[in-house]
Amino acid sequence: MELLRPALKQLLRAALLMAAVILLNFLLIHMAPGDPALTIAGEAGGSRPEVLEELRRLYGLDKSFLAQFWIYVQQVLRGDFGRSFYFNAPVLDLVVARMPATALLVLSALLWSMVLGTALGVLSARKPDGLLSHTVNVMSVVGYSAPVFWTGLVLVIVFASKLPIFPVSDIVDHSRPHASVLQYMADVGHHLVLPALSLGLLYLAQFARIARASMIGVFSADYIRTARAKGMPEWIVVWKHGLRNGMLPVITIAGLQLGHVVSGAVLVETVYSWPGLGRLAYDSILRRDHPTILGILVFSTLLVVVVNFLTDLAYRLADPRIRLSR
Amino acid sequence: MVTGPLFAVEDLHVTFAMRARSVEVLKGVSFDVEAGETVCIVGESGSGKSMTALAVLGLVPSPGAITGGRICLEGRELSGMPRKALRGVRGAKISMVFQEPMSSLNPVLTVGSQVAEVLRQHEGLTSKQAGARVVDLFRAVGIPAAEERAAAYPHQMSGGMRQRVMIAMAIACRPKLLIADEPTTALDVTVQKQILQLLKEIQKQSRMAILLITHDMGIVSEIGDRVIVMYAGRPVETGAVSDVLGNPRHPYTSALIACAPRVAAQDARRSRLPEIPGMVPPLERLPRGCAFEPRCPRSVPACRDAPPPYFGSAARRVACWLEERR
Amino acid sequence: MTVSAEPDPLDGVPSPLREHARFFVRHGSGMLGLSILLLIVAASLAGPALYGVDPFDVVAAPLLPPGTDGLPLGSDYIGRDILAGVLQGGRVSLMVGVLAAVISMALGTTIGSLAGFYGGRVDQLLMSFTEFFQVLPALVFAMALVTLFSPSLATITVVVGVVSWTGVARLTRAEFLRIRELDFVRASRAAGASDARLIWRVILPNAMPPLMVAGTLTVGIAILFEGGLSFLGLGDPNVMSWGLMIGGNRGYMLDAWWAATIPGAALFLAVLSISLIGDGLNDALNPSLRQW
Repeated sequence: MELLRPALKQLLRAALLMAAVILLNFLLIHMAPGDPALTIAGEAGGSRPEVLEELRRLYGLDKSFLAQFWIYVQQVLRGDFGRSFYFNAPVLDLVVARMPATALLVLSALLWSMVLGTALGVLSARKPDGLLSHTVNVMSVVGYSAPVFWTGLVLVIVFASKLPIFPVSDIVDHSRPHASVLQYMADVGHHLVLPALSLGLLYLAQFARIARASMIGVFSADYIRTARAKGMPEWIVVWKHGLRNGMLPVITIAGLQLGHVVSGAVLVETVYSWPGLGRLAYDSILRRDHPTILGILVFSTLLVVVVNFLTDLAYRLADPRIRLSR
Repeated sequence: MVTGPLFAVEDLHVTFAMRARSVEVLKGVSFDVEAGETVCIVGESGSGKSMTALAVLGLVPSPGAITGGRICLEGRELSGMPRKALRGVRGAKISMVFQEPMSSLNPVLTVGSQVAEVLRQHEGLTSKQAGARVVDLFRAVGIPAAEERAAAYPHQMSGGMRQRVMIAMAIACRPKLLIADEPTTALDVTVQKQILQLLKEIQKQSRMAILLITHDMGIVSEIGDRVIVMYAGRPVETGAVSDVLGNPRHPYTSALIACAPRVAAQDARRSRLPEIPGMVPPLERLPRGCAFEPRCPRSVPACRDAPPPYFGSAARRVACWLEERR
Repeated sequence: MTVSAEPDPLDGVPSPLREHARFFVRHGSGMLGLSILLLIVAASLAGPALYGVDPFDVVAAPLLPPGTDGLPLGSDYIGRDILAGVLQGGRVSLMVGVLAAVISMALGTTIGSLAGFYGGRVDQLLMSFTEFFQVLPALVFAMALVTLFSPSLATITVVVGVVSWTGVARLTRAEFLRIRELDFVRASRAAGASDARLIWRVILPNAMPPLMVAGTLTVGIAILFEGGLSFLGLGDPNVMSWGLMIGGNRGYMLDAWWAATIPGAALFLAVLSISLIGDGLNDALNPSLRQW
């Protein structure tokens, strides 16, 4: 229950952040050069004068700035994020349909890179001067520097032509109907491998580095010495006593990096034609479909805020000093 | 029937092998401890007293290692033992209490679980059984509200309480020998007395032997049966506490006694605590003769030629050239 | 009894700057990074002129493999010389990268130093502002900005600078919070130094080591960012950049893998060299963090 108060505080912060994004959206619409109605309509709608008229009426574009903002806020609260004239659908529908795919990609990339990265970090921290440790360090610089869209491309080339064991495009195989939910999920999983691999590689490096540094500090701590002095087997010393403490910075970093992971997801989705927000964003840019892009801005931020909230919760659960102080 | 002392260290050598050079930090330490008695190892920092304690449990940090001598518990040699067997000894037959209770306890685990861990490891107790024993142990070491405290985290307890937890953890499996490395140094003076008394009580009840490491002669006089005075990696005077403190033979021992605020109480008129001039020499650059000679007020020319051997009997030994005449 | 005099432990120790430089030089990977970077810079500056081929000129049949027809790196999907593109792409990437990093550092250090120095309300306000920019997915925000404000090199540079300053701000703030409490700062303040002087002349110079490392790494991040935007088609279409080449040739990657892969390798090497330099600097300037 000591988690309730901080959780509420975090929720409040999240709400404020989202409000700020909405404000930003509004400002962007009006700061863009040209007629705001054209901006809202995008390229597809902007060519039709009756659409522009309708938009001017709907958004109250002849009214004062503040009045327009209030109208905009009311629309957002109703769930109206504008309409895409290219896709001919409300932006909210488009975005909500695509969000799960992006969420799946982001979360699986984070999950595997955190787990493997931490494991590598722990193992290299055991022998800081060993071969694994140096390899991890070299690999992390490489992983950190490689453009995620390039590694994605390379993987596509390799797996499409030379080693066709994983599909390189889309989320499921649309040509074959699925007999059951399980089969559907398996197909999704099969398609998820390469995109999650590409996206995670970038963060694998960072997690391994952080975990290694953190664990090196942990291993020289007094409580590790106590655990050994108690006669605990080495694997318990490392994984129970050591990791429980060493994980904390890794969780923190995961939270801080989320904005970047979602950005990376945009690029990966483009490369793999993964039907998420990123793909949608790419298509919208091509068609200058502004309402959709702005809607994606709001919802991708929402994704970051939600996962941030979860990682903050995870950190509090993991560290009793934070949870039980004050 | 086990004859001989409960615990014996014979000619222990510990060397640190670093890149440029190696340094011998323990140069032939020998002593034994009988059941039910308290042996104190006293000296300044750098004398090797803590290293002796760590060496006993096989916890010498790398790049250090035991390079000579034997350590025997109840006649069984510990020094060559395979790691797994040694882990069975640690925490169960020989246990250790460290100086800094805050950093020696794992901050993310409850104190109860940390004590229960040692019971489950060595005595195979179930979670529930261990939990009940933990409460008993907490009561035995004087922690009030034992049941609630078991679920607390280290940061929620005071220094004295934490040290009691450490002691509970150390006596949980009824060890034959308890090693306490400066157990009261980090605590308030009032709490110090309580902790020392607690140790004495436990010893009375269980005939546990105690090896107490300290730099404070006052503690030695209060709780010790026998004392070993160490300087620059080797013992320089050993004997019964009443003997050594009442009639110190080695100049270093006299100096240490003079420095201890409690023991020197009769000289309460003195406004400043006397210091021993000079510093402990770095272990890689010891003088050719007696290591204490540069700081010794009573040195003679012979002291500079060679390190003194031990003079006296097994019960009372002094490593000082001045003893040769006796 | 004699107490011998200790020799002065500071005898013969060289100045800190020389020590740092010496360590950097001895540190293999930092030097490797520097060498690669110098090569890339040289190639970007002198290469296009020396090679003499306009990257936008159609000089051959499309998608020729490297080595055919006198094209060392082959031709792209339109028939343009890939080597020419790679050489000129370097200019764009490096220029945008450095300029955007400068903007980013300027923004980040300003915000971070003010937050760290003044603390309290100012800190809270600035940190909320920073947090907002941190949750906005940078690329998506950049995409929105570029789409609305039309792509040109200037826009891209500003956009990249504006979305990547939050890490620097946090670092600067942390450094200021730490250094602010040190004795020599209090002494300066007691001697009557103004806030501005304290920030600029007293605290900031002492925060330089981690900031220099951060600055170096920010250039790498900016280059990757620009690459990503160009890849998505949001770069300046009148300038040949590595990202543009990768994005443009992506559709043909299964038939002509070199057209998209080679520019990507160039991008990778550029960022890698900068990361290595950053790492080398980090080890040289932060000996306490040196891990071996």
